[in-house]
Amino acid sequence: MFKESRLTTADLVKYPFTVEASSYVEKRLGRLGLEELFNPNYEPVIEKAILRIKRSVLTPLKSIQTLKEKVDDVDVEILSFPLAIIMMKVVDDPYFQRRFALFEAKKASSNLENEDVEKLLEVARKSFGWKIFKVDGSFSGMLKIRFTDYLRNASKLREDKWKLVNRYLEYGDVYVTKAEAARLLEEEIRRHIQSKIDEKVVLELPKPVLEKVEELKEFLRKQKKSLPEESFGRVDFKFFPPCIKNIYTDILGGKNVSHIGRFTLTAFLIQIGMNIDDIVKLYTSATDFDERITRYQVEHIAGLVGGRTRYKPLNCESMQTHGLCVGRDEVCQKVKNPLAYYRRVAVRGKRVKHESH
Amino acid sequence: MNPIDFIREKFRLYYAESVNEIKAPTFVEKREFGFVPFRKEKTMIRHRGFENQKKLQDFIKTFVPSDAYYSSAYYKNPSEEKMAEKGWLGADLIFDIDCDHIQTPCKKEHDSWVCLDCGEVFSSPTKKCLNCGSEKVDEEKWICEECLDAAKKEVLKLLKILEEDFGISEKTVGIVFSGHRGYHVHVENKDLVKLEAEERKEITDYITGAGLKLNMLQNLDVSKTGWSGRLAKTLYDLCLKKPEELASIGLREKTVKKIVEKRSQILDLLVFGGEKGEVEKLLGKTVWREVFEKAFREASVPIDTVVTTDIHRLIRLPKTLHGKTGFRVVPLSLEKLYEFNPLNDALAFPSDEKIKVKVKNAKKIRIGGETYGPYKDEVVGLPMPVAMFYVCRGKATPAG
Repeated sequence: MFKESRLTTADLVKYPFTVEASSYVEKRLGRLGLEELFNPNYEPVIEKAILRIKRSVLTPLKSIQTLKEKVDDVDVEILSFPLAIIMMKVVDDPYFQRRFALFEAKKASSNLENEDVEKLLEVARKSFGWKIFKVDGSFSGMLKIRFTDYLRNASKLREDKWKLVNRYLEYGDVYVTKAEAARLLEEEIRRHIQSKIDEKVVLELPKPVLEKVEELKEFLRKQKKSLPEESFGRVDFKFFPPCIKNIYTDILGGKNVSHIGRFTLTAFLIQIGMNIDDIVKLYTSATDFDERITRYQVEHIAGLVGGRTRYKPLNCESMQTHGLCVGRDEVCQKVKNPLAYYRRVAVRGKRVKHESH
Repeated sequence: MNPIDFIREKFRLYYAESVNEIKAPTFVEKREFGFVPFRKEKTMIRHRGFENQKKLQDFIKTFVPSDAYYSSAYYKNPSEEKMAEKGWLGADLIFDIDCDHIQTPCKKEHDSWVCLDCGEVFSSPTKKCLNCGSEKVDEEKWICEECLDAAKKEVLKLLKILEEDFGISEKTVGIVFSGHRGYHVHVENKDLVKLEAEERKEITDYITGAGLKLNMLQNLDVSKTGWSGRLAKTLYDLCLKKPEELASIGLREKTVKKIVEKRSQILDLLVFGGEKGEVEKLLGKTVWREVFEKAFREASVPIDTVVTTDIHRLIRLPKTLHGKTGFRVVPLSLEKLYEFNPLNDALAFPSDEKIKVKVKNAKKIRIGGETYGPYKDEVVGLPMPVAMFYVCRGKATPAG
């Protein structure tokens, strides 16, 4: 079917965001495009799209690599992807939107890593325009990628090994392993899916589909309640200042947060009494941070190891300098640091609770 | 005559004659321009846009700015005042190399710290006046051929990294003498205009070596490019130096001895390769650290990282004048750069014209192949470029 492509239909199931998958969808649906999917014949596609979204929320990021998905019908699989994106637009919750993009990207990236290298190159070049090549000679087995393609993705990753200065760079090409290329592609795919979700396209959903989306929304609302934020004993998410809340949901959504952002969140959580294990879990469950290193860092900030200083989160002024302040609300006007905000609101919150009893 | 009026008049004459030499930057209609006026209050006038070169030249001719800048960025609406409404489309990749970021021995001779309260002058950095205790201490940086030459050497290093590591050919970059302390390198490349600040930061870290982890690099090998190759090459050069040369760059006696002793083994390792960390083992930890420090400094380039990562930066417009020196901002080809001496070749005013100026207190400067000063409370007749330099730097006023 795609003579010019190495991707088979089975590959399109794995990589439904590729240009090949898009043209497959176009051909399948004909003139009506995605609206065709609202035809009752496509009921299974709607169901599958909803399942996709639910899975993105329910699957711990750590287990995506070992995720086994049963494929009954390739058409249903491929078509459910663009439909799920439309549904995510309607869901209109940045946290779940990010989570969906991340889940799909991680799934694809872990497949790509195990794929024949030619397929990985095909996806990178055709769908994302990367200049990426196999390397011969002493670096045989490695890939080289144009530094601009590298930076677009690696500059969002925080480990030292992704810093350009620690890479072998030659005439504009960065040398990477296949696994690293797959990780960089994950970033590219995630951003691609996110941009598709953010795209403003007007598409009226018919009533039966809308009803399903409403059910999905209800499901997500419940999920949000059961997110770890509620299970931290005396720590209460709803008293967090906007800046900390933002960093916190970014971490939960698997988004890359700057070092200083993670530092300040950690210091904040320690100061308000969350225990070390829970903080470590927060980081390791949503990201690919190494648990041992994360624990060390958290303990360091808590003053348990290293310089024995128990650090405080940045104050409001520094938060602004680092671009972490997301705009000040009423309470913010009265405080100079995020901790004071929490204490102020938490005290008031508890008082209200008592009074109502 | 008041010095500001004096300078403005000279600048006016310069622009009346030479404004046609000013070339508009590429995509002029998408650039923002900024000008510092000749007023006491030197606030820059920003957010100016020009449709074409002619309009830009006309403006400069009539406005007569003390300093003229354009944006490295391209905007949909360059004259909008609010950044959000400007519509950022991309930006050139810019590097700034200033001699005040480079350690040179001449600094000790010509940089000083002046107490604004009691007037005491110090030759080493201090925040507080050691005479009267005042905290109003002003740093006074001066320039000379030696530090401007050091800046040029760094530019050549940068161009090499851009070419060998980034694949950006030196033929496609623009080199500009800034009119004062150093050079700007402009890269206009459609593949790079969209780079975000974060990505540009990775490029500056690469060039300055910030965040470098030696254990993550390839083995040191002179045949390689990248940091592993460049470090290997600088180490190789270092090892080939004579003992007295090694001592003269500040290495301790013990270190020099060790290098000489292990020289041939180190050179072998750098050329034929070996296990990671073998050079370190040969030299021992402390000696290695000292040698590495030297090699690292030689292999990195001290660019001003803020200039590169700021994607809204205004940068000096070539062929205009620098208000603090009266020198010209000079665009250069690579061939010209080798020969270029700013203190001869960036002069905007005729050397055969002499003028009397009253100099308060000024250090010496070598301009046009001759050394002038130091002067203290005297009236001297000086060639125009030298007089302009002193007046622009606030060290002299026109006499009579």
